[in-house]
Amino acid sequence: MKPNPFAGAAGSPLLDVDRVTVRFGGLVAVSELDLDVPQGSIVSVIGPNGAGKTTAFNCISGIYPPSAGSVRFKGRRLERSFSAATFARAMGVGLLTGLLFAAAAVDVDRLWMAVVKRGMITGEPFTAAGAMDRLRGYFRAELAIDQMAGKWRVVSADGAEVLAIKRDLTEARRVRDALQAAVTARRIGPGTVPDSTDLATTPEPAASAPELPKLKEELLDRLAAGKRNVRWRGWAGLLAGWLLGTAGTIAVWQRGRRSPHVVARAGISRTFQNVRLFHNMSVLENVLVGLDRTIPGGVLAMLLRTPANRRGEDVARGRALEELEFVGLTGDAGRIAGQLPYGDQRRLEIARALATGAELLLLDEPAAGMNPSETVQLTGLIERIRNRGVTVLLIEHHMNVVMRISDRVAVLDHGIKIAEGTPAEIKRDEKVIEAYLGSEG
Amino acid sequence: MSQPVPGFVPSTAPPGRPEGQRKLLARCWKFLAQRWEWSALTILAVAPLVVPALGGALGGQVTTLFIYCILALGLNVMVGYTGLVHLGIAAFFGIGAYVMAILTVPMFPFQIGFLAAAVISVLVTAGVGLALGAPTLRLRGDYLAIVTLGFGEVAKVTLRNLEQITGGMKGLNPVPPPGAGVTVGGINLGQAFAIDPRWFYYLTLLLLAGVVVAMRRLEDSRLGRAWMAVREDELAASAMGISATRVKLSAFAMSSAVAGLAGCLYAASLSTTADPNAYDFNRSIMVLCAVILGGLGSIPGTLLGVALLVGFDTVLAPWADSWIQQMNINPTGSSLLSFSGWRLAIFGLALVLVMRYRPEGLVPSRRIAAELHSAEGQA
Amino acid sequence: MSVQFFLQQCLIGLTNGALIALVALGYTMVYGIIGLINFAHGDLIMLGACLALTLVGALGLAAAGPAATWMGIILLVVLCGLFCGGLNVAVDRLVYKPLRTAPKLAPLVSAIGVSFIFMNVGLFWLGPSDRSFPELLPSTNLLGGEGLQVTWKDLLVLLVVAPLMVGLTLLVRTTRLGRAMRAVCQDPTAAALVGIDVDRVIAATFFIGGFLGGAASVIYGLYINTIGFQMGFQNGLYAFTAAVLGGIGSIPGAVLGGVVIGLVRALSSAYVSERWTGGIVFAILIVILVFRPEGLLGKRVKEKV
Repeated sequence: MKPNPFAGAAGSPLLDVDRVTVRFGGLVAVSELDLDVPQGSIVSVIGPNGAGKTTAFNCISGIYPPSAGSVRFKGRRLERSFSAATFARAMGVGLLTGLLFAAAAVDVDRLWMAVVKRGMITGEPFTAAGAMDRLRGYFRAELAIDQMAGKWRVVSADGAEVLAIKRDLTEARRVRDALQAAVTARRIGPGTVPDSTDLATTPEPAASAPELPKLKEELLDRLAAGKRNVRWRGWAGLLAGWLLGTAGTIAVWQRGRRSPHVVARAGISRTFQNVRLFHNMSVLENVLVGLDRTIPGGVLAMLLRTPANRRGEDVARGRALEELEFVGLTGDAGRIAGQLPYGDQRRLEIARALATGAELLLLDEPAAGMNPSETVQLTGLIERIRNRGVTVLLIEHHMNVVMRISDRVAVLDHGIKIAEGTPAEIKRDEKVIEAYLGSEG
Repeated sequence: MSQPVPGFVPSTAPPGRPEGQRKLLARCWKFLAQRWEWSALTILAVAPLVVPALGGALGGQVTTLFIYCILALGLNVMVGYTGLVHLGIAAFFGIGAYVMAILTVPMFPFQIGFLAAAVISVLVTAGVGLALGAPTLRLRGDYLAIVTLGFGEVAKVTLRNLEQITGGMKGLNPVPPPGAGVTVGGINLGQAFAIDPRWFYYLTLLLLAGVVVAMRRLEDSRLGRAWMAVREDELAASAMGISATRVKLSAFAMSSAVAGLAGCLYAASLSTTADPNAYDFNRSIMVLCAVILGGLGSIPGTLLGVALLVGFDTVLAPWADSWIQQMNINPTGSSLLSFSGWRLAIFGLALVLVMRYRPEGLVPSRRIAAELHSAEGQA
Repeated sequence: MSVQFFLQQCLIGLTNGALIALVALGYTMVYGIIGLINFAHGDLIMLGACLALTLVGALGLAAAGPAATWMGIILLVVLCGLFCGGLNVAVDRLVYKPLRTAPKLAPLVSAIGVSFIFMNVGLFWLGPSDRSFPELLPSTNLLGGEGLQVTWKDLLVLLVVAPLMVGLTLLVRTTRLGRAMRAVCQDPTAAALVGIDVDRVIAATFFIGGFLGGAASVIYGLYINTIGFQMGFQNGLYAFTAAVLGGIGSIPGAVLGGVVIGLVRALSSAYVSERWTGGIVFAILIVILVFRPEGLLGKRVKEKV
């Protein structure tokens, strides 16, 4: 074995799997797994099929949440924390949902009519102040004036009740004021506490009171209750929407705390047992996907092809080609990934994973389906990866690969780690021989 | 258009390829793939000057065709690039049209200019897309189909029910033409748009070209790659550090925005929003059919698909019907013997057959270029 | 807004919900087994209703006595069930089977295509306008008096739906076929390896889903009394929403989802406005999916890696 320049580096391990258990229903796939991966080492996990190796990988890379235990990378848990941004997002979404609910609750259609169309009807110029006045009027359930068939009508704020019809606008206005006074008086009658808006809008009774239509008591009551009604509905809608929106955002955040992309961005990248390339994309593009985070600029920059964006693309392209060269696929950059031979697809997957700038690479049976010469090449590749300073955690069935390159080997059987040590120790371990090698003779 | 076709990297092809017919073919294809826009654009730009009919009703029809092309390109972002089924694109088309109308019709006090209204309606539709997508895009992909379908229905009904805002079944009109009241170089733009359909023809053609260029650029950018990666394998993409939710959300917003743009052009060119039923499931499906038939994720395919379907609806079906009538095959007027009576079945059969025998569509996006290229490389 | 009014609305919701659940079962079973949103299911039921209408005319049920009417209804349920089940299996063989290994989009789009073809057939069968389905059952109040109205129609829905659901549950829980179906649901490859004929199981699922749909179509005709070539779309939408709400792939979930949707529809039509019913159902769907993406009774699915 070559001397390992990174072995024995001081400090905590790069990856620290601490008593991780993964359960699926009643089935325990991984039980209390402890595993340390020191920086710059190659650690292998071996074990018979169904031993829970891939499940452990999936747990580390954020695909499954652990049922118990924790995974730490560089001493940090790989979970999105509840940050100020999360809080702000929850509040923002809550507010938006609240406004949506409130709009539905106060009948946005009538609100629109009251605020936007009524100004047009009475011929007022549309100004922000005027619109605000009418908006306030709607929520105070003030009587308003609109027009129908050339005649002016005094209507309730939502336009549902027509109280009087006049030929003349000034006349209509006077009737409106008088009726409003009656309604407000009803509202601040005995038993109710007047609020400032009621007092502010109560007009002085006109000296020459116009002829008022007789309003039924019941209608007057309804109009008086209109204000409390619309406000209650508005606030209730706002509150319900806000609660739902905030709770929903938090629920969604909670579910997405440990997602593979969070883990990948922290610096852990992986390959898959059954190669998962982007089959209909070119080899180069496959690698570029891993580099995408390095390219600056938003949608607009991409549409306008700003110089920064273009430079970022060029740099990423260069780095992608370097990665392809590293795994020996330079000549295939323009080909479609799905058309590569199987062994090349595996190497492309490694290049794609390396391109993310990972510090820890999880390789899930990289030699599966490879012929002996490819396997030898792969062994060399893994060593070169380690020599770049990238730590490797490996699942493999080819014992000669594992034994040749691993610094440490952990053996899993039925989800339980039964042994861990240097390859030489593992070869001698009774339990391993019994559980794993024993079956072969 | 000087950037390479996506999926094709000229500088890295293996050296020492044999010359031959294949290469010539590949060259031709490459040329077509890169330059078809220019050829098509030139022809379409010259056409109104040569064909007088485009100054009449035909001009309006072709304008509508262009608008559908924009709409289909928007849908293509979602269905073609990102692989998410969207069955409610017409809702966003409709929202774009209504926002345009609300901001410009004389019935409401806003009456802002075409350009500002177009920008706002694009932003609003993108926002609606985000608001709908944020809670639902985290779900498994096929739930989305039902959410978009449901949203399409709800949007239609909402547009119908909000009578004060949208005019109910009457819709909003008249939507003024772009540049109403603006005079440039002695020409009253609004009047020019109102009188001569060729103005609209050029406007929509210009915007269509713009959308095509934008799509080309996105295809070959960080975002486009992320879309396709999510389509190919969502889990692998997220293991490469791509936030699948964000990527899908951006696709949804982009789709909605482009559909909104198409919608506001639609309202402006018809000078009415038409009634909400114009934005129902049938329209969504027609556009979806066009995208699938033409080739998912392929810009020329999408455009061809729209041309074929709209051509079928507005040209072939009426023509065949009148032919049937002339030949007196159908004296009783039975709908069984009319061509348009079979419209749904023909659409349906086309979908089934395309999925069975040519799932990549008539003009597949990358595969042909890829296959040609790999044949080249292996030969 | 009395208690009685509320109860009446609940009853309407319940019967409607039972009907929706019957349709939702067809969606959820097919989805559970091959992961396909069978878009054509709603239109399949529309075709079932067409057949039911034709049969009612051919058998002269509108003028038959009570005993003959009940026999006729049972016959209709069986015939329409067989028709829809058979048609569903045929479509599966012709359209979906060749696409088993294709990307997910392909069968979904094909299903939309099939739905269009069905709709066109329905258009020829029924004509472009809605047709009324004869009232075969008397609409007298079984409880008597002016209080709560319970008619034969309401009873019919429960009388047909309940045994079908019990039968289905027993079938899935206890029979060999049911076990095979659950196995294929879990892992088709493994099921094939242990000797299950996957294609037959899928065909059986399509048949059962179609049969339930056919039964639903008859009850729909008798209960709603209006059918049209576009009814498949609306009802399919509600039924699928119910399936998703309850947890797609779960049989009790589909029933629960159907009842929930039925109740929400009835109550929001009564207390808010008929116009906004669709919007309210949709909003509830989104809220539930945000908090429980796997549906009310669904299990969280782990992606195989």
